[in-house]
Amino acid sequence: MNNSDVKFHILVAFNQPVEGLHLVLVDGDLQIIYAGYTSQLDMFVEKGIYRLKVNLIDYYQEYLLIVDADKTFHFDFDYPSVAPILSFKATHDYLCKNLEAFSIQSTNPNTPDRPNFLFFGAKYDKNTFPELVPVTLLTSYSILSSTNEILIEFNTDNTRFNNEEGWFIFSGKLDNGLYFLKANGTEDPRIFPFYIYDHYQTQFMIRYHNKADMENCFFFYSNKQSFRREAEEYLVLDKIMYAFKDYKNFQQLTDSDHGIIREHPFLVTLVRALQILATGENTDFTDCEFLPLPDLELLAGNKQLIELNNLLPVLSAVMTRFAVNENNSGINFEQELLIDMVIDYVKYDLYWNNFSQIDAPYSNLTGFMDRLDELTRSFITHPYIINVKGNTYQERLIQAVTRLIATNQTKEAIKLLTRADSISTIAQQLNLPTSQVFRNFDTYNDIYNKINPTQ
Amino acid sequence: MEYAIIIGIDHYDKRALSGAVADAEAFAKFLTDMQLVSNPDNIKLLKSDASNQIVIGYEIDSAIEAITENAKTHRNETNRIYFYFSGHGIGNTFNNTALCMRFWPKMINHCISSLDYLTGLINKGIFDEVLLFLDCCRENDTMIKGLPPIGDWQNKVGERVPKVLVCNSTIYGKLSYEVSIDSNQKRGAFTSFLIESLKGDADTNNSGRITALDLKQHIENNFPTYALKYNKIQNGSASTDNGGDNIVICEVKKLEEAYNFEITFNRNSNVTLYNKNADKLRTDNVVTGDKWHYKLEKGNYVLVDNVSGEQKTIINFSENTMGYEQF
Repeated sequence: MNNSDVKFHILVAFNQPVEGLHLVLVDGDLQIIYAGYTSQLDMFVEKGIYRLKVNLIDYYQEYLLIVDADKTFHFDFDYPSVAPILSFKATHDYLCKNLEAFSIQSTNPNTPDRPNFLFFGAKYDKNTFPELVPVTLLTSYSILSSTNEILIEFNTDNTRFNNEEGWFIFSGKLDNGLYFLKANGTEDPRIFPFYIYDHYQTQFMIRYHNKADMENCFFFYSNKQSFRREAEEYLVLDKIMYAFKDYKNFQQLTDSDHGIIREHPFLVTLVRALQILATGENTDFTDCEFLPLPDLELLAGNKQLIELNNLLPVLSAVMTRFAVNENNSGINFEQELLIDMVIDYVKYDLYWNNFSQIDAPYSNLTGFMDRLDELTRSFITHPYIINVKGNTYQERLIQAVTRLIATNQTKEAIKLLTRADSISTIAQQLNLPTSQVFRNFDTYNDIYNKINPTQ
Repeated sequence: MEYAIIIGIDHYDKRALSGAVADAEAFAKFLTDMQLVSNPDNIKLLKSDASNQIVIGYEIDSAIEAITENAKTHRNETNRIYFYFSGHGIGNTFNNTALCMRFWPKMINHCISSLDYLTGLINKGIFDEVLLFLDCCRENDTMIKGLPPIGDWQNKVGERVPKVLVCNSTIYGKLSYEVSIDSNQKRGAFTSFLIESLKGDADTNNSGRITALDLKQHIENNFPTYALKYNKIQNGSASTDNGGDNIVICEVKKLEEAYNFEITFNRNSNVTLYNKNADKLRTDNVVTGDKWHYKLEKGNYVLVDNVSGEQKTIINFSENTMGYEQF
């Protein structure tokens, strides 16, 4: 660098009010002259070419600073936010303003049957992928009841959309309870469970590149009842999810983030489950209201709640994004649970609804109905399922299969049920994890049959 | 004595890769050119091809056994083994990656465990330095179980406890990318960076040699920048054990050429090159195809198109490696 004593005053700030940025400033000699968590830099440096490295969650961006005078640098931080918040590049006025307006309108207390479910789908940028037109996307989505009945199918009458601006928004009023959001029009069909609670708006947000970004869509249970473009809680949600990946990342939550968590019972619930899983005890926000989401309670080991609910063996979509194992300090999911199967095989879906994953032919239709009852009874003796009160699984499975029969998908139904029946037996015989057998059923079934020719 | 097992697999039944074999070949060539493996017979290069059924696993065990037998005849020397893999991978844990073999995923669990193979090499008791380089994805799947080496890999032989370096192309749970280094060939971003690092870029203190610690720091500090050049967000990781930081991986050859940086222009404009002190090095009109050659010190540089205002950062990590940029 220069030997000059002359130093210039630089101020580096970001156009987005983001808490918890990790900044590294590298000088012309590639030496790190600053590293730390801050939202802006205010310092004196020598003339030169600098690079600023910025990290937030798992997003990374670099900036060039040519310092030859006192300068102020205002940069855009282009975090790919799914929620159209905080003026990120992926936020756009035409997204956040419309969503905010629609959200406020639809949650107006004077509105009859005030909606408590809000769906937001949008491209990341309206100018990309012109072949992707919202009016053709919205019909992919439907809401199912907990008994697999289609309650609502999105269409041009009940869903707002703008093809030019690349968004579609739905809101509706549902009774409290468990529902499923089905996304059927993609190459990768998914079914997401969600819940409706008193005094909360359940929000689902999904974005599109050339196809739906299923990895980053999420549910949010808002006690604020509406969406605000300056809302910070969605970014805090992302940070909490990052901590599910590695609990060390929980330290990246700022004091301000902690304040936001306190105001949102859904976030409190997530932290509660996170800490119980990672450390064995819940140490933060213990005096705060939380939202008793059954699947999170299951993760937190609250068996009492499991027995009291008609709960499905699924994880919230947001949870599965970061369901990973780290040596001994991370989140461990118990082997053999159906939860593992869900994560392992179909990730976000109820495995028995994800029939598109099953492509091999099956020809034996003899005695199907007799076999059905036998198989489902066998199915519900799974160690996980027997902890659930009642015959929820059996009923649900029968309904799902019956519906498949009606839609001429019997072969798939039988094959699915055959799998459910045989997995545990084969896994035990071959000393393999059940989910491994589940994933590779045909191969292991062949091996099993060769070992046991009388089967 | 030095040994290397180098694996590159492009030809998977599903999700074939484009650059893994080229990466393996490049890494083998690097070891040969730098004479890091003095006897070419000690490099076992296993690469897939449309007409072969390599690598399905046994070749690796066979190569390890052959190398081990040879290393026993050099018992009194410092024995080093490089284990390099480029292909598909699956993250099992933070320190264990399932390395996908040729018939994955058609053949169930057709993967080997990086941790078990590392343990097996350590337990051979004949190596003093074990260096693992893994250029593959590490997306999480706790259900996949990579296979261990054949034979008795779990029982330690002898008293030697080797220094260990493990370099991963990406952090646990994340993808590893292939990028277009030039218009004709895709390559693993990490392997390209790794080879340039070992040629001299990682010699951050200009000591004339690169230690495992140098490489670790260079990967941590500069690989994300390198990946971002190709519009990828990718962080590598490196770890050492048993004094692995002190492994001297290689000496850095002094570059004899008159220049160490070539800038090729793809525009007709007026351009300025600024040095790391933000002083103008050169301002000139350029046309497509023009080349500027410079001997640049280590540091940040900037090219500015004085007509459009477009800027491009140039980073020269070392005076002893050739750098190329297009602008």
